Amino acid sequence: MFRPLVQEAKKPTDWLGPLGAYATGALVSSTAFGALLGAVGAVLFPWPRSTMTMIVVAVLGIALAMCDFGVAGARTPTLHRQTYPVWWRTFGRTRALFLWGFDLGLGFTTIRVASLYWIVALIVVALASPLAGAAILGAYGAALVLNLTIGTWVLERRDRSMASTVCILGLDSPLARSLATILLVWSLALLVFAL
Amino acid sequence: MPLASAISTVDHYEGYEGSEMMTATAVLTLSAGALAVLSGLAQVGSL
Repeated sequence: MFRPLVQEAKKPTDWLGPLGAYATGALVSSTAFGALLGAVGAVLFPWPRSTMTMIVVAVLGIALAMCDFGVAGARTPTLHRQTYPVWWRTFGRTRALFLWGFDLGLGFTTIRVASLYWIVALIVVALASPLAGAAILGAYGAALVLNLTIGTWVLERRDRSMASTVCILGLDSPLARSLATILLVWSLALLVFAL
Repeated sequence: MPLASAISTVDHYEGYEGSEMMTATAVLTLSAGALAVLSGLAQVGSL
């Protein structure tokens, strides 16, 4: 007997379990990866932080923003990969959402439309503190959870005649330009502050 | 240079470096947190 793989939640609270699994995966991987990057930074750059650190981060931020804008044919550094949809069938709903959350929480394993994440990872290495790294990338994981809960809810109510995934794909290009602009403005502000 | 002046100069220098380091660290940490949240909220379409 054939049945649809994805079924509408029968009770309003049915989504809490899968969302909790997604949140757990995203928070565990983002926090652990932040701590790891901070520890790597502490080994690679044991000297105290200074304004020179800020200048280096700002210059690399400007370079990454230029990549996002496609200056001189440059592209945003990214892996061209998405999470595996097959996990839903292989592992079931809750485990799949945990794995998707874990995958996305790592940040670097899936496609990135802009370089904002890379500059955050660079700052975590530059700060060279596992605790600060865990807190910063943990905030990234928490934002992913917020993204899934609020974002889907808002998009589905924006236009019921259009699937939310189609709406999301339509946002990619303006979103990438906005994020690149934010990265450029932030990097320039950091450079001015450091100088 | 008298010893007291030398110690005072060293104290001043170390104080300046410490303050500069704390400011740099605070600015980087706070802005990284803000950018991380923004990046997470904008990471659409990869799921």
